[in-house]
Amino acid sequence: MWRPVLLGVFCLLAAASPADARASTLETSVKATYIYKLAPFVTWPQSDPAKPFVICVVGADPFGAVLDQAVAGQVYAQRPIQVTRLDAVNPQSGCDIAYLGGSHAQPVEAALQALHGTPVLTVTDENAPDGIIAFRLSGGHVRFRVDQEAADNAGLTISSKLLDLALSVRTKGGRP
Amino acid sequence: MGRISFPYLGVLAAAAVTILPPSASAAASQRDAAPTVEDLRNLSIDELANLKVTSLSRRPETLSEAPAAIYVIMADDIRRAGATSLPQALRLAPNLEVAQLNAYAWAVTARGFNSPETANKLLVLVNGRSVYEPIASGVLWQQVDVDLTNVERIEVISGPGGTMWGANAVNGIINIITTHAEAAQGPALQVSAGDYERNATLRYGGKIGSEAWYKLYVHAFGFDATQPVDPADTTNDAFSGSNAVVRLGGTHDGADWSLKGETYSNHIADNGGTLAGQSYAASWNRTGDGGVATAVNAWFSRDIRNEPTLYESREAFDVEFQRARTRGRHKLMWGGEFRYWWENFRSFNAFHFADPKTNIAIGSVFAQDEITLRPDLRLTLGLKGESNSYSGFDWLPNVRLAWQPDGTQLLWAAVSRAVRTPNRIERELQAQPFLAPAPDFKAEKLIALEAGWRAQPAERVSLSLSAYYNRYTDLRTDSYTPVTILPLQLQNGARGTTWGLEAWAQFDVTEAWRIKAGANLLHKKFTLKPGAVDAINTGVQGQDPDYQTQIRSQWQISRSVEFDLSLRAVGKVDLAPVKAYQEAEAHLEWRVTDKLSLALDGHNLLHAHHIEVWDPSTAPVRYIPRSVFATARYGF
Repeated sequence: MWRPVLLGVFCLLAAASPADARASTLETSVKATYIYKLAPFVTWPQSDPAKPFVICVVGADPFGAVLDQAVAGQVYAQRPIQVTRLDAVNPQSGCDIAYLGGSHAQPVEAALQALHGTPVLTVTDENAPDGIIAFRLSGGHVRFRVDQEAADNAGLTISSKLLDLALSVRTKGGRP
Repeated sequence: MGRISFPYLGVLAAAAVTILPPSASAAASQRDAAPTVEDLRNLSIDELANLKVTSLSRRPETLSEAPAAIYVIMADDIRRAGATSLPQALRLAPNLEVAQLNAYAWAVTARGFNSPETANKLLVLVNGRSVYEPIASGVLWQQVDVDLTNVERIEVISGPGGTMWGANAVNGIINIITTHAEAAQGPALQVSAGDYERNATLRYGGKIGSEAWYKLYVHAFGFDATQPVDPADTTNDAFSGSNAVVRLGGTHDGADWSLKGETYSNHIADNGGTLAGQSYAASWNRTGDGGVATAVNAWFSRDIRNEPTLYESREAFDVEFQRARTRGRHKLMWGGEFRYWWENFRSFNAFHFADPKTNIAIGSVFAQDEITLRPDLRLTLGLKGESNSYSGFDWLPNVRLAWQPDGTQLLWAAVSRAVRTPNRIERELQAQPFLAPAPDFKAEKLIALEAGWRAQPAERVSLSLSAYYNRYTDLRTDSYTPVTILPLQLQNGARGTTWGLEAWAQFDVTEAWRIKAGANLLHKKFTLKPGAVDAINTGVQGQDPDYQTQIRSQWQISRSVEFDLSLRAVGKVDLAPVKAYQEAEAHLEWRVTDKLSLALDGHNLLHAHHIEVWDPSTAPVRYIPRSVFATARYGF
């Protein structure tokens, strides 16, 4: 979210390309924290308690070590959380949550299509097509929007608590 | 679960730190490092959603990846420099030339053409509202009231920005961005007084409902008369003024909105008269489905300048729309702007307009695409078409290439075209038998080649280097009539090339000690077109030192005491009796409590007075004095 005055400069460059977003700002830390803290508010159709809970970072990685530090020692449903980095993602990649940064090989839109209808919680950033969870900066806070229809298609159930917290919810066939 | 682990104790501690911003912890946490990702582990998802990440820090970082020569002046740097007026704060940017003429008049430019008369190639925006004065081209700094305690940051871009900002963004753009409504909560007061200047700001801010905030600023200032350079000059240039700002803002349905109202009234003791005005602005922006960002911005402003020799008024209305989206490798942005203004210029001497009143409209559309050619290579293509009812149509294209060989450096290059549109003074001002109107006077044009390198070679060191080669055509000349000399008439009889270097660096020597340094070099070559003559001998090129350097040390002596020193050296000015000079500034601040701090500042400490620019045609040249003052701050 930028203000119009800034748009000019934004357009000169806003493109956070892979390397440039790596600064470890509070904003990045908050997003990294969100990613694993979303899990308890989402129900996956099936889960294998014997396997780790996998967070994939697909394409451009704004987090670097921050995400690894964030999840270090964390568990979800007694499954250790593991971070995997991929250039491109497919339903067989084994992701439970996928942050889609987009890559040359697979832009965000293509990654969303690749995961369409599979039980993976897709998370996207600003200035990218929206995943099930789409981060937004709002009033200086990191908030998110929820695409309920995409979640339904993926077979994921999003808790009402998370829907309440969302900036907006896109419901079936509707617009937010 | 049946088990209470230590992290839950941490939740309380972390929550106390994050949920009590107005209390004692706020000031401390601002100075300290931001919470780490380990600290965040202990927050609930609600607390996470309510944690202020202030995108403030985000934007300049994004800027640091810009393929352009951008320097960002942060609020903290302004405070630590003890700046008490906007042009003083601009001295912090190593890519600007800032020269003070007297108590109220300044000349500011980038990449040459400085002097109150010729600094017409720098566009200045306050929250997106242009304060560029279109009648004479340039910025009347005595008419731009910006309370520095309300500034979030100032982005200084040297080099052309016509594609984004339109005509007159030729040599640079200054974007002054004031704080959000929500950035100022509760009461705050700042008072400073010294042997040359006085300043006071009262601020109050609060919350309306759950998603909206308001704030109010009242600011007054006074600068004493300075000493004349010419003993025959008996004028009093003392400058005083006051201004007020109201701002409402918040978020609604995923969009950020704000409403602003401002008023100012400034007074120059002798001959400079009164400058007063108001402005109102509304902005709305949101990022919607598929990352499509939309922004709408509208403003209205009214400025009146009333001097013994002239009266000038202007009411301007502007509306702007921009949209941005990412699709695959393309970051697309497009938008349009429409501006309309009514102006009246009456002169009480022989130099006058045949028709004092006019209305002028400007409409423009632009589109820009940033293409990720490879993960490390970005190409930006942009074009603006701008139509001005007074001066006609211009294309303002630019092409930029950015290469990031690794995460620590950026190399960029750009080619741009920009124009400085003709103004009414140039075309219409007449005084028989001295000056004939010049209805055919046309835009001054620039083709600019730029390249730069920005790097962070070590964790504590960052640096930026940019070089430019500018080719100007159709520059203004004062042509004279053979034999009789008079009348003079303005023509586009000159052309010129300038080239130069700008560099700055920052070095965090220790956690508590930072050094910033900057320098620029400028070379100019101007010639007349075949057959052209110029009564002022290409005086349009301005008064520029061929070098400027600055170094500043910011030292946090203890948790509550900081001490800053800065030195600047400016080369001698060609074409004017302005010698090279060196000056120093010092700032000592003691944070007595979290809310209260006391500061002592000295400006221009090395000499009793000095001269920075020479242009007696617009205002008397005065000695710029040393200034020492003390400040008390509460709540800032």
